[in-house]
Amino acid sequence: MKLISKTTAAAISASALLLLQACGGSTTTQNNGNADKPAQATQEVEQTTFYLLPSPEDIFAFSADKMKYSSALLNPTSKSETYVDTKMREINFGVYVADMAYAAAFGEYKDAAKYMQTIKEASSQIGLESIFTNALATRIDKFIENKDSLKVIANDTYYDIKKELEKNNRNSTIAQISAGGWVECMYIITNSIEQFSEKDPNIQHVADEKNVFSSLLKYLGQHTDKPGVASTLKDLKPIEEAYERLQLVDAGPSKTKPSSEDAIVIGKDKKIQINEDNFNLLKARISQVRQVLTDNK
Amino acid sequence: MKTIKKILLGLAVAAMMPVAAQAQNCADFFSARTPAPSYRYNQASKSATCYSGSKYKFVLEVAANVEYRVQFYASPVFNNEVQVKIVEGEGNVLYDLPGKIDDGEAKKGTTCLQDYSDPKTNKLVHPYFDFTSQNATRLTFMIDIKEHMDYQEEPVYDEWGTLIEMKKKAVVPEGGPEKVKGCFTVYIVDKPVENGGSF
Repeated sequence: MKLISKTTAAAISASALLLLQACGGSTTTQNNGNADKPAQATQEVEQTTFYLLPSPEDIFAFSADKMKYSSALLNPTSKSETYVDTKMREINFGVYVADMAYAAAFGEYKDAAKYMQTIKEASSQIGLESIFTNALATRIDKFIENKDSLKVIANDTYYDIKKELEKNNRNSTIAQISAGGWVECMYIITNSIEQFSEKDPNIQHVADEKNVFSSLLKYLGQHTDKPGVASTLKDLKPIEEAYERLQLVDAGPSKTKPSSEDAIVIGKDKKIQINEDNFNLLKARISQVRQVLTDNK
Repeated sequence: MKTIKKILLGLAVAAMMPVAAQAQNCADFFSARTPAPSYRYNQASKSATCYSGSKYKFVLEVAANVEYRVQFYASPVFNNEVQVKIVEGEGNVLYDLPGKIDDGEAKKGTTCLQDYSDPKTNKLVHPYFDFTSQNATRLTFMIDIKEHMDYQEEPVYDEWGTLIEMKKKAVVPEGGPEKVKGCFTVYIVDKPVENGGSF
């Protein structure tokens, strides 16, 4: 030991230890297939399915052009302080993320900045303060009245939130935020539609979200052992019942051309059909659930 | 004495480098996301921690009137020993492809992970899959990551006993296959359909 200084020995010990940890972390002979954590064999099938849920920005991406902006539809930022338990904080974090994405999609600078600030404040309540680094704060401060810049910042913020949660295996928090975000998006879209028309693409979009909602329920269902998740599933039940009324029907002749010679046209055979009664029921149920999730009663 | 110290310190630093690389989280995969021109990064993209010898499903709910481009990436530790099936709706298999081909060069449409040379541009292209949606539907990506194998080189001789090449051969590691951890990534970009859609 006299041949090697204490510093050198420490460096070698540390690297050996890290190397051992890396080997142990990357190779295992006992894992049962669960991607993010050890799991019971009975959970294997559900746990190895990943539901690729759209962000609020994804949901608004193809409908914002056909809607009018209304700040009255946003969940007031003043309510943020009233959310005290983890479930309400996570759900409404998703609600505010959706509100910011909505404002950003319409280039509403003041509202987007206001909701970004609320998200920043709320992030510390759910252990996400690290994503709001100085670099991001500077970008927010330099918000310019440019629709695309707003969208990019909103998109990057959502990406950073999801990445941070995934890094820390907080999948139940992602599920809760996704639930809050999805309900808020659908509340905004359904309440932006003044009159029913079968040819309104936004109404078909609401019907099509049946599939996303189904995946959201399954995703939440993977985390019912975590506090608040089973309660959220119960809260969403009225929407589930309303969506069950919508049926798949023949899509009729295909009018869609593949985008390139390699592209495959999908969704040719069936479409989800919605009539005025079912739309009105769905709209009412979404508003009812949104109230439950945001009113903290 | 100083030389020994330098060598030991160098070894220590070198030993730490792969650790830093392995410590990187799958979620970091998209940090440098740069969609192809005219496409938008879709936040449903996912990079998940997966294990060799395991099967996974990635479920994407497809919106109507959108052009999707999907690409797959796997950590080098999996050696592209992956089978990917792309299924629409309840069971319409659109693609069923291996991660790589064992013999010869990969061509367009033959693998889901191995780059191929585009004869038009002479550039290497990572496989991609384009879908144009008429109505909302579901795409399921069924991923089968094969057991982790060791590779040994075996000589290949011609009829006169001349060595032609050393060929890699997969062999089951001593003590049976081990579970190896890595990232599997489904990268999605999209754009609205240009021909007006089906409404």
